[in-house]
Amino acid sequence: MGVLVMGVYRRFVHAKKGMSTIFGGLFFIILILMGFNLVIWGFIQYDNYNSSLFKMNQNDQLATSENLVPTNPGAQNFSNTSPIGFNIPVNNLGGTTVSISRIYITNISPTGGTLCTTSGASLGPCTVDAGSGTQNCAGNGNCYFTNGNIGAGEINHLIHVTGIAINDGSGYKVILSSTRGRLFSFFYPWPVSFNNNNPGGKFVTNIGPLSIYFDFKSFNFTQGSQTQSQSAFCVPSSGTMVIWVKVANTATDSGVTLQGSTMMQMQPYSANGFGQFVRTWIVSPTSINPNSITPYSMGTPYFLPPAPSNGPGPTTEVYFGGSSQGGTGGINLGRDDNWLTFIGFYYNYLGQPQGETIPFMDFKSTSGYPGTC
Amino acid sequence: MSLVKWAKNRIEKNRKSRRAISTIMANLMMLVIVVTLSSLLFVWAISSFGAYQGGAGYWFSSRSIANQERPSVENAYFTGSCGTCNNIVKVYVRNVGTIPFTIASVYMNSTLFQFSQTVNVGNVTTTPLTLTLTGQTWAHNDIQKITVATTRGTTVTTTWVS
Repeated sequence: MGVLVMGVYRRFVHAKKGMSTIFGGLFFIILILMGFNLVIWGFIQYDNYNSSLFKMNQNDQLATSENLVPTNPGAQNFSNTSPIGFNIPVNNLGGTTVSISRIYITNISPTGGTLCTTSGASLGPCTVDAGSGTQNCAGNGNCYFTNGNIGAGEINHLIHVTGIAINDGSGYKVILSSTRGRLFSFFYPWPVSFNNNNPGGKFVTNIGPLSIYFDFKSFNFTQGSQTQSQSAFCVPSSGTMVIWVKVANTATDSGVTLQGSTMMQMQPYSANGFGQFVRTWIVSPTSINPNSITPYSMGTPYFLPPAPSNGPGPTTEVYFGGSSQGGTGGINLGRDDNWLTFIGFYYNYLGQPQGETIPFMDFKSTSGYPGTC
Repeated sequence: MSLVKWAKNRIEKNRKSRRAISTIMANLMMLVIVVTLSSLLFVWAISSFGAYQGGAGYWFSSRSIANQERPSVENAYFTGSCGTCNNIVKVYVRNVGTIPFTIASVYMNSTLFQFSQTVNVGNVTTTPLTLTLTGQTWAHNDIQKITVATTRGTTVTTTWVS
């Protein structure tokens, strides 16, 4: 061992390389280590940054996979006695559980009341929180919601809101806010919607504040004691009928109340001159067939609620079957023909009387109904 | 004793050396140059690496933190200070990220409104951000673009129908 050490020592002493070479080598080793250290440090920093990005991307993907769909009628099961409240039916069609963090309710058509407006006790939109709720959200103490966690795939899940009821006739926009920052909204009353796969239910004429629908499903009639209506574009020429017309209000600032002078006038093609018309007036909202006709009364009128901002309000079936204003008796056309039809609507809008004439449609009466339609 | 002997011996050898003084000077000069340049290289490397680490480190850390911010504009309520004024917009912002953030400004379309409101994780602004419009007001059924910006530079833009 001693010989070996002495050998190394002698080689070192007699080495041609000087101290400068050693220092130079050390110097460059230090430089290389510093560079290496820098690269390692850079990797660590970039890794931390990527971890943060990855984590937040996962959160964003979860938020994107939320798909909560409020379903018709938007709000239901109203309780207007203490504790007041209602349910919001929703379907979770997304791939993850959705937790509701807050519900915003804004009155966008305050015809039924000032709830959730700047004029109301809540002084602004009603904000409904979970748990102990929001103080004085509607001037009725706390309001809050329960059942706000909706599992993936749940259908007809009911979120229960307590402390506020929105069935006062006003139009409301309701926003459900999730804990991941997604918003799901709907309007109440639920707007009119049509299924374009169905041949009926998509033709409409708009005059004044009213939308009048004339298609296979909306312009109907009944005879006898029928409770199921049929298309009225072809009707029997004998026997009494009640004609159904589907109407909605498009005005967001007021409801519409129909007056008893609202009537329908039909002129046959083959007739010439006045005196050949068949006329009929509106009857009560319960007069669904000739055997159940009762006179129209302003005590129980047709009231068309105001529309939300995204479309007409809910539709109302208006029945025609009065032989005179305030009368009953049904309609009997009495001949085979085609009929040019007009409807005169007379109503109260914004507290003022107003009227309009609808150039409605053409329909046919035949004794061989339905074979000769 | 041996050191003294070695020094005498060395001096005697140098005295008898055939090398001139210029060779020594040249070696010394080369030594000085090499040491100086090496020192400069070392100092430059240290400062460059330090500057890089400082800048990149700040960028990585600040972007990592800012990336964890997630403001969510939950609601915008369009109202007015009088019946027909249409001059106030209330904005509700929730923190759905993983760190608290401070709202620095809100833009309605291109109009700036400055705020300084901190929102903790999972919370919503304790009082809604109230934008009081002067001059131009909002109109019914118009599209309004609302952008919320935090102090770390995160922005989120949403559109609403007034």
